[in-house]
Amino acid sequence: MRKPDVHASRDEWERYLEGELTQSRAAELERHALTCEACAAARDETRALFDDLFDVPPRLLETDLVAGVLARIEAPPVRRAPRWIFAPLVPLAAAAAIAFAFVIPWGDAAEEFRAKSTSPAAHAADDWVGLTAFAVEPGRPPQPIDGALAPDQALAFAYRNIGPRPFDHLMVFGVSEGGEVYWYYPAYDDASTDPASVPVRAGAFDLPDRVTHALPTGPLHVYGLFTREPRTVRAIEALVRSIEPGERLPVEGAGQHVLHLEVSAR
Amino acid sequence: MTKLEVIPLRPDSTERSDDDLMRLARAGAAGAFEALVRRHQTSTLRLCYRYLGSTSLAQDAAQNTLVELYRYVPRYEPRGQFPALLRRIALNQCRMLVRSKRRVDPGVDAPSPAEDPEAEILRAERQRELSRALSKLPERHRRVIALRFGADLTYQEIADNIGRPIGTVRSRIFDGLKKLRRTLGVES
Repeated sequence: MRKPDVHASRDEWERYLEGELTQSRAAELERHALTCEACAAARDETRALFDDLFDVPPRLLETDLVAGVLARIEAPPVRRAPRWIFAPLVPLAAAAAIAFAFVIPWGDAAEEFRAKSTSPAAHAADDWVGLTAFAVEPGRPPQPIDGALAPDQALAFAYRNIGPRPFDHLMVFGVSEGGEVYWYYPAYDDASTDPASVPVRAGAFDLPDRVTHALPTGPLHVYGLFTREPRTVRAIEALVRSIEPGERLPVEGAGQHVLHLEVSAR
Repeated sequence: MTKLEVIPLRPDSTERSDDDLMRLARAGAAGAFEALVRRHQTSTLRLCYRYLGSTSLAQDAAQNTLVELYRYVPRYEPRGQFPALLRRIALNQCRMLVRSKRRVDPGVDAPSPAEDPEAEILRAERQRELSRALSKLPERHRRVIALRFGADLTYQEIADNIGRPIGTVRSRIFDGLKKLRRTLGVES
């Protein structure tokens, strides 16, 4: 039993305002607040926060979107300038270095990624695929990412797709701890499109582009998702929302490799 | 015998359901989609504002949402799920806007002209602080807070909207509020 004179926490006032307390506890708090200035103040501040959360600037509600929406519907689609940086920006020597670094040291750096990324409940298909991320800096050969990167780090990738039945399609994307998805492959810069996986071949290859996002600091889980059929960005983003960041995606028959990285300021 | 539906060229939007208007838009009835935009623009702006915390970003996101909605017209199935669909599109647009404009400070709104300028300045300042705090929430918390306070949904409606159990919604809302308080420096 609660004591009738117990103070309420902010948590409890929030539950009170949300109607999540029992009637008896709510009545108890109301009585208590009549004689406890601290609790009455906490309740009023919590109520003010809720009021602010419901509040909207009046001029926003005067916005008329109709003309703008209809104009855009009737106009041909316009693609925003991509943030994607295409292959010519990656020097050939760097591309060669990616391939070299990828094929030769797979048993070291890449295996280290694997050890951190796959769960003991092994998915057989995962054994045949792999993803390596490289930091790309002007004038320097690409360096394998060893777990940490800067928010504006340009990245390039290499993949491994071997085994008795190699996959046909690949997606590479990062998922922040907040659940935001950052696409590397396919390129996704236009919200009105829904691009599909890129085709891949059997073997070990580097991917041609370097890509820069403005990444949030904190954990970043970079997925290499290998599938037999192409998948679309929206379908995969829906699946990402159904899991905790870094967990295996529920895609049947797919091969997956997740790099668990940490984004921190330079 | 099949009953034929008569589709007026100028639908009376005030009496038509959302599903009807989507069906009419698909059939090419003039003004049907415009009526939907008029009907839902305010609620979409509210939701986007609570997620993004900026008037200009909310306007961008709401417009993108309604343009994106138009892409659903040809394949829309009228099952009474229109509001949920629109909210899903809106939150996705907000998320994409955050992702593409990550360096934009959410608190850039100037106070509106008001009868009590001082109160309006204080209100704008509170909103600015709140928006900054909201922008630091993980996406899963930000989403449910936006649905609760920007769309005024019940926990069950939020659960239906995001496809999660109501208990998860409840814990995300209160976890989100707790994180907000910490960021705002409110004592517990």
